[in-house]
Order: sequence, then structure tokens, then C-alpha cells
Amino acid sequence: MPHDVVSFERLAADAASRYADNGWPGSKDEAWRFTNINAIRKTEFSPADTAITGTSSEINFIHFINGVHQPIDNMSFNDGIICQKLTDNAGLSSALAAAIPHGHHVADFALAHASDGLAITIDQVVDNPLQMIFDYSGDGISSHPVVVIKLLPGADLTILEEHKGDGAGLSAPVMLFCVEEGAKLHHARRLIESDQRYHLGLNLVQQKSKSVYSGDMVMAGGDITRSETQVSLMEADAQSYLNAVYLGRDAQMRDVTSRIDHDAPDCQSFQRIHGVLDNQSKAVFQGKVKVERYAQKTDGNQMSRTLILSREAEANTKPELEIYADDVTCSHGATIGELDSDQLFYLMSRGIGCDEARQMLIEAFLMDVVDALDDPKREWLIEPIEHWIKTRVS
Amino acid sequence: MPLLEIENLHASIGDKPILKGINLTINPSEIHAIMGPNGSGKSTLSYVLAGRDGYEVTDGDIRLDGVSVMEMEADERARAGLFLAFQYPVELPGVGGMSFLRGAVNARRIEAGLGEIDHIAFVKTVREAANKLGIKDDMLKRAVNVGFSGGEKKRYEILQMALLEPKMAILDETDSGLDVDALRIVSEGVNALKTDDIGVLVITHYQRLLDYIIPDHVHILADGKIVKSGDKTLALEVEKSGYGEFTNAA
Ligand SMILES: Nc1ncnc2c1ncn2[C@@H]1O[C@H](COP(=O)(O)OP(=O)(O)O)[C@@H](O)[C@H]1O
Ligand SMILES: [Mg+2]
Repeated sequence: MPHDVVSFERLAADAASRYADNGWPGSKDEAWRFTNINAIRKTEFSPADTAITGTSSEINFIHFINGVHQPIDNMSFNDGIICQKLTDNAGLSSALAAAIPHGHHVADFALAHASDGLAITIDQVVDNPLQMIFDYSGDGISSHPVVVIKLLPGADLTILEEHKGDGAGLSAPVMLFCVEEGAKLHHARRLIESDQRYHLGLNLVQQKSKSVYSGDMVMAGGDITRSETQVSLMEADAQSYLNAVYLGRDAQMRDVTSRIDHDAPDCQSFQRIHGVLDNQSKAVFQGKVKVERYAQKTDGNQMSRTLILSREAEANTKPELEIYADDVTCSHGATIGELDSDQLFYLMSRGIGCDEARQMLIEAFLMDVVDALDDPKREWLIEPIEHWIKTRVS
Repeated sequence: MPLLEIENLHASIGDKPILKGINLTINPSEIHAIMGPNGSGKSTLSYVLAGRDGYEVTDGDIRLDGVSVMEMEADERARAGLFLAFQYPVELPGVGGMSFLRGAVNARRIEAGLGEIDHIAFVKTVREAANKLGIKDDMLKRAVNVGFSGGEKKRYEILQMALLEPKMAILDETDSGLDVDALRIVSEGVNALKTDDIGVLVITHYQRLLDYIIPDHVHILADGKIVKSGDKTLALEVEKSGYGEFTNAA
């Protein structure tokens, strides 16, 4: 779809004026009803210093520090990966400008403060994964990494993405993935920031015909952590898989928000979300699936399961189906429950201690989402899950 | 010293008394059978012995090897040598069979001051034991009890028993859901365990199992009490005349 040419500078300036008008979402904003961000709203964050340089000799390694891409000397990539600044790629900055959802507070905040971004083009099958590491630090600092990745027709890429670091700061990454005809993007993301941090992320996925996007996420860190994913199935026969594991404890907030627009016939979307909440943690999963009138033969599935380890933990699930086509298969389901006492007793009756038995059952519940993945995605995601279980569950 | 002593055991679920004063002593190498009509409290007894939450023991004591287990959690009792083969084995989706078996065996070994079992040697031990019970390799790879038939679940209970080498084994209606072949294999598994010092408590509704596992003592449980005890001929008697006289008496 042709759109106006918008430079990154103009995109940022437009976002800044929208952010000046609209600010943060209010508690009356439906998409934020269950996600209290008062702590973020009250903080006067200052954007990170942009003059940092790092070095790395790893291949296919992209490193952001406090939202700023490290202009690493000798950055090296496999054939098929073309990495540019977003300010140097008007095509992809224009694509991002067109993709930003109207009135999206967080996107506007992030783009208003971002100094630059990365534009990555993939033009073939790349065997080795692309690692994107986002490191954060410092109190009161906001970070706004912006990345646009476009897979040209027939390309194939695995991304291993990680957000980590400490300090009472805010991370607001904005990413756009354009998956062209027949291309495949395998995307594993782990959010493992330290307990004081805030994370509000927006991921946009645009899929052309016969493309596959499989996004798997483990959300294990941060005080308030929200990940929003919006997928547009723009052409026929595209498939999208969104799997997520979220883990909360203490007074943490977890928010997994998704929106899938079926704008073309014969597309499929599958979402599986498993969460574990301990102590007074809270979570919301809100997933909207919208099927346009002409998106016949749509297959849309959504399943959310939450395991509550404490009486004070709270899970909210808000599935939303908006269907205008008549020949579709759409389903959604949500369960919220505690550990099964029969299962716990069965394990303990074999001599397995209570803590270990609980860990085994929690692990089984979470593995259900990630176990079938291939390495390196599987390993990338299992590691933070096992770490969380070992250190958080007793 | 007796292996298992149950003394004046009273237990309730909520406000409802289920066990109403059970006395039973099992010595090493003895096989005892408890028979009784549905709802008489047989499974409740097995759960209370194994230390399941949700039952209130209002009176009495349970001793294993002379030591009261009343303050012990289910896992401690298991590591002390008590084993319960469940009437309804529980499915554990996502819990791999091998890691489950290894976790159980290692828990006992660590308690006994032995190190964790060698991985490869363990796989071999499990295969051999499974083979004897007619359990296919493919079943061992699946999640615990998931997709198992009724009979497969019961065999898997006996496999666990064989691997854990308990001092005192309680089998709750292990015969239900088994065809004659499976019954024979499972009984062989139990009989193979009967070394000199193991005690076995077989809970059953029918006499059938006792053709394969010959009890030294038979007790009739009705309405939460043992109403009659005898030798193996008591089982045959019950088979003929039914439980009517006991339920009326209770
Ligand atoms: N969880 C429970 N809540 C309430 N009553 C129960 C529960 N489990 C068992 N009972 C009752 O306890 C009695 C004994 O049950 P059970 O021990 O299962 O008998 P059996 O194994 O001999 O058939 C029955 O009256 C049954 O209804
Ligand atoms: Mg029973």
C-alpha cells in the first residue's frame, strides 16, 4: 500500500505534538482500565543521553543501551540482513508513520522522545538468529528504542530479543515487523528487567499473503510491564501465532494486550497466554480479534489460562471478538485457577517435597506454551521461566 | 515391632465423620486385605494413612515403625517408606514420566543419605521394571498418566511401587478396571515385592484380586469401622453372601 513519505524527524515531531495534546492514558481509557500506571504518570522521566558507544564482535548482534542503538564499529551481519538508521530509510520510517495506531499514547510518547531508530531489511533466508539486546539502567530515565524490520518476500528470520537492566526507569520500545509475501518471522522475546522498572511496549505486525509470524514472549521482569501487540493480516492465507507467558509476584502488574485484525480471507490466528501470579500481583490479558466482512474462512483462536498462587493475586481477562464475516471459526476461552490439590498430593505421596511439587506443576503449566518450540527460541524462553520458578516459588 | 499400627482412628471430612474408630496392626511381611461396600471409607482410610490434606483426624494415632506419622506431611510419610497405589491415579499434563519417576526416587535416596541416582542406570532400571509389568517404552515417555487407559494407570502405580521400594504398601482397589491378564501381571508385581519385611494392605471391593494376592488377614470395613476380621476364608464368605449382613449391622 503506498503511503506518504514521512521522514523519521517528521514522524517524531508529529508524535511529540500529539503527546503534548494527549499525554498519558487516563484511568477511563478502556484499554488501560485494569492497568494502573499512576506511578509512571507521576514520574518526570528524562530521555537517556544519546552519546554512548559500545563495541561487540558478535555476528547478527544488535545492542541498544537505554533505547539508543550502539553504533558499533565492525557491526557484522550474515548475508541477507541490511541494517540502517531509520533516519536514513524514508521507506521504513514512512511505513512506521502509517502503522502507528491513531491516538496511541505510548507510541506517541516513545516516538516523541526517540532520537533515532533502526531499519532492518531481510532479503533472504537467514539461518543464524538475529539477537536484539536492550539494556537499561538509571533512575528516572526513559528509553525509547524504535525498530522497524521488514522481511522481503520469501525471507526467513529468527529474532531473539531481550529487555534487561535495572534502575527505576521506563522502557517504551516501539517495533514494527513487516512480513511480506511468503516470508516467515520467528520471534522470541523475553522481558526480564529488574523489579523496579516499568515497561510499556508496542509491537506492530503487518502480514502479507502466505506469511507466517510466530511471536513467543516470556514476561518475567519489571514492576509494571505491559506488552501490546497489534497484528494486521492484510492479505490472504497469512498465519499468526502469539504465545505469551507472564509471571508476576509481589505487587507487580502484568498486562498482555493484543489486537488481531483479520482484513483478508483464509487467514489464521492463534493466541495462547499462560500466566502465573503470586502474592498481590495483578494481571490483565485483553485480546481483541476483529474479523472484517470480507475476511471469510478466518480461523481465530484465543486461549488464556492463569494460575493463581495466592488469594490476593488478581487476574482479569477481557476477550473481545468483533466479527463481521459469516463463514469463520473463532473461539476464545479463559480459565483462572489454583494449583490442583489432587495433583499436588499425588506428587507428594511419591516423596516429592511440597515446594518441589509446586514447582513441577507450575513448570508443566508454563512449558505447555514453549515446549514445542525449536531451539534456539525454546532455550531462550525456557531459561527465564526456570529462573523465575526457582527463585520465586516456594 | 509392628510395621503399621492404626489405633482408634477417627477422621472426618468437614463435619462428617467417615472413619469411626479403626484399629489395625500390620507386621512385617504380612498381607492384609480390607474389603467393604462402596462408601464404607476404604479410600478415606488410604488417604488419611498417606497424609492427604482435607481430612481432620479427630482421634487416634498412626505409627509407622513405631513412630507416629500424625505430624508428618504426605511427602515425609512417603520418604519414610509408605506407599499408596491410588484408586484413581492422577493425570499430570506436562510432567514427563521419567523426570517424575526420577524425582520420586531421588527424594527417597537423598533422605537416605544416598546421592542422586545415575541417569543412565536409572533409565535402564525403569525399562526393566516396566517390561515386567507389560508397560511399553512409549508410555514411559509420556506425561504422567496422561492418555493412559484405566489398566495402564494401575500398572504404572505398581511400577512406581517397585521403583520406590516401600516398607508398607497400600493398594486401593488396584484390581478395578483390570482384565484377568493385567490382574495377574499386577499381582505378580505385588508378590515380587513381598520380601521378608514389607507389609501390604490390599483394599478391594471384590474377592477376585485375593485369588492372586493371598492375604494373611482379611478385614471387613463397614460404615467407617472394622466389623469383622478373619483369615482368607472370610473373603470367600463375603463373596458368597455379600455385604448385606455387615451394612445392616453397622
Ligand atoms: N471429598 C469428600 N467430601 C465429602 N464426603 C466425602 C468425600 N470423599 C468421600 N466422602 C464420603 O466418605 C464416605 C467414604 O468414601 P470412600 O472413602 O471413598 O469410600 P470407599 O472407598 O469405601 O468407597 C462416603 O460416604 C463418601 O461419600
Ligand atoms: Mg474407594
